[in-house]
Amino acid sequence: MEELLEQLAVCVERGKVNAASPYPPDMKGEDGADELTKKALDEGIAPDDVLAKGLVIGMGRVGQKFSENKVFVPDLLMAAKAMSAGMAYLKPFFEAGEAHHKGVFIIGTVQGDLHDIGKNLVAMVVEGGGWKVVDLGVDVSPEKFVEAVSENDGCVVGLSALLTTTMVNMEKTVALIKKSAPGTKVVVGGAPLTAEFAEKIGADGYSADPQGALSFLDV
Amino acid sequence: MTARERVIKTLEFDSPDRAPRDLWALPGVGMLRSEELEAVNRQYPSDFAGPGGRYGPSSVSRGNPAEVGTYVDDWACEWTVAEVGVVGEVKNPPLADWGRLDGWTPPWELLDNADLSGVNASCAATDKFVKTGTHVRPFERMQFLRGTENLFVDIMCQPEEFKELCRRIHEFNLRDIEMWAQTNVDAIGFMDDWGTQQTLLIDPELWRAIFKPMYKDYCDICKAHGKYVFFHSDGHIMSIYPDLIEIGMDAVNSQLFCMNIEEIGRLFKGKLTFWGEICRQHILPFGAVEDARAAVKRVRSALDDGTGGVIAQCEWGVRDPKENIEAVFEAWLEENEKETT
Ligand code: B12
Repeated sequence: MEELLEQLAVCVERGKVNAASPYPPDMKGEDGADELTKKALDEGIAPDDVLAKGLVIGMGRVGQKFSENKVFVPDLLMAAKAMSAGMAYLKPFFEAGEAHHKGVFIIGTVQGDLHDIGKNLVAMVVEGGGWKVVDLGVDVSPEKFVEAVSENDGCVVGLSALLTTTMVNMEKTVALIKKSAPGTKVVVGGAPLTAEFAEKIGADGYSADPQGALSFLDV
Repeated sequence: MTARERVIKTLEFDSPDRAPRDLWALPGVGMLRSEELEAVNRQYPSDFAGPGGRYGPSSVSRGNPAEVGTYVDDWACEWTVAEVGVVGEVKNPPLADWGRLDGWTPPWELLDNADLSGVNASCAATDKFVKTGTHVRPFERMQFLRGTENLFVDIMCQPEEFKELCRRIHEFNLRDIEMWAQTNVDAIGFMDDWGTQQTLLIDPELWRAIFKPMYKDYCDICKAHGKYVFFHSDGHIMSIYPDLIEIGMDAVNSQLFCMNIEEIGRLFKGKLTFWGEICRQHILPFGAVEDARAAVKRVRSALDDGTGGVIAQCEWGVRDPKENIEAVFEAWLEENEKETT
């Protein structure tokens, strides 16, 4: 079992989606996250273990390397694709209550801002960390965030902004969330942000990279 | 010294009388704050000018890039604009599905019907340095055509379709550059945003394998016709500076302030001209006038010892205070006066 889950972790880490995928070239023809997840479940490994000891481990490794600037956006994207291939098999188990998310993470890029590469990476890594992710997309109004919070009890919210002109909308969003659902934790990020800014607008956390977002959520 | 001579002396490290000026303004500034923009341009006239030519009319573009809603560009990419005067983002990229690549061609009409007949006259009529922009932005164009995530996957997996798309875009770009190289413009510019806040978007080795050869071809054409090469990339591009220098770029605009400016100076000063900038993310929008002045001093002392190699460029964002922009040019003048006294 251990060996199979480690193989699965490697597939996610390296972005090996399935046997047909040409990437990475040195794993050509080998089984990918798709086949190995199926195999693990077929062998009777508990879905929670497939998630925690396979997929999450792989995503964690590549996420760590990304925060150290050792791998790049496309590497993380390939890893996320591999992870999604595995997650597809876990979906019915989540729905049936046989596998468990750590919680719900709502993420979106704030109003007026259309940048989404960073936001998507955070969503992928957090999902790969075992959380259920609700991605509201880009140009998301404060009201839309609040609506999503009201539909997901106990969720944590992530806000992304890449423009100095939309950082103000982040402040508005945090204020509205805190007003309508006090106690909801909000973590923020995006290229122009700093920890000081996050503190100033009343956010609970800031991270410069997806792995940091996950660490914030996991405590 | 004419403005043209000043820019050339800057690019040649031949002690210009001062750093040449080049103010960029996001479209929203021109739309919503045109009086302020004109006032700054009057007080600190630019040393650069654009040429009098134009690309052929597009049969597909419609709408206005600076207005909220959607507009379609010359390459049939549909943009969503969320805020007045702020260029948006492509949604529904036309080649997201490779099935559409068959029969797809770049918009040759832009080049076939271009009218550059007035370019040489406009160059002769000004003593400013004439720099033309182009359609050349291979990485970004492919993002707009394929969608960003698709393109990243393409770059990793490199399917035949991706190679074919690269070829077709490169062919268009070569002709675009060649077309301008035949004219009397002083410089030709092209761009691509390569950096995140901390690093390159893609592995520098992949950049070297796929994109560097394209840029080298563009530089080679410019050089063969005696044109200076100007390049712009946002983000942290420290890792590819040596490559940009190697392929012959003359001036590069990048986000100096998300990198280590002093280190950049140590490594690259005198090898390439820094086409600005002053921090668009913190100092210009949120800083005080003193911060803007200090930023100029920092750039000056790290990158310019009076022999040239720096252009006093900054970009005016929609809500940046006018005072900060004025402070940048004022501080540059003071710095340059210090040098001559
Ligand atoms: C690529 C890019 C674009 C692409 C975006 C494509 C897309 N699908 O997102 C396009 C071309 C569309 C674009 C458009 C514009 N852009 Co732009 N863009 C960039 C660029 C070069 C890289 C951004 C990026 O994707 N980085 C890669 C990702 C992985 O990094 P990231 O987004 O920072 O995210 C990471 C972290 O910040 C963090 N993170 C992000 N979100 C979150 C959320 C949470 C909760 C957490 C914890 C962490 C976190 O984790 C991520 C992974 O590490 C930056 C340069 C820069 N310095 O960042 C400019 C930049 C952000 N853009 C800028 C500008 C000005 C614009 C435009 C206004 C340009 C124009 N002329 O109109 C438009 C705005 C459109 C709009 N309304 O939003 C400026 C902003 C300047 C300012 N004063 O704010 C920048 C800084 C460039 C510059 N120096 O001028 N842009």
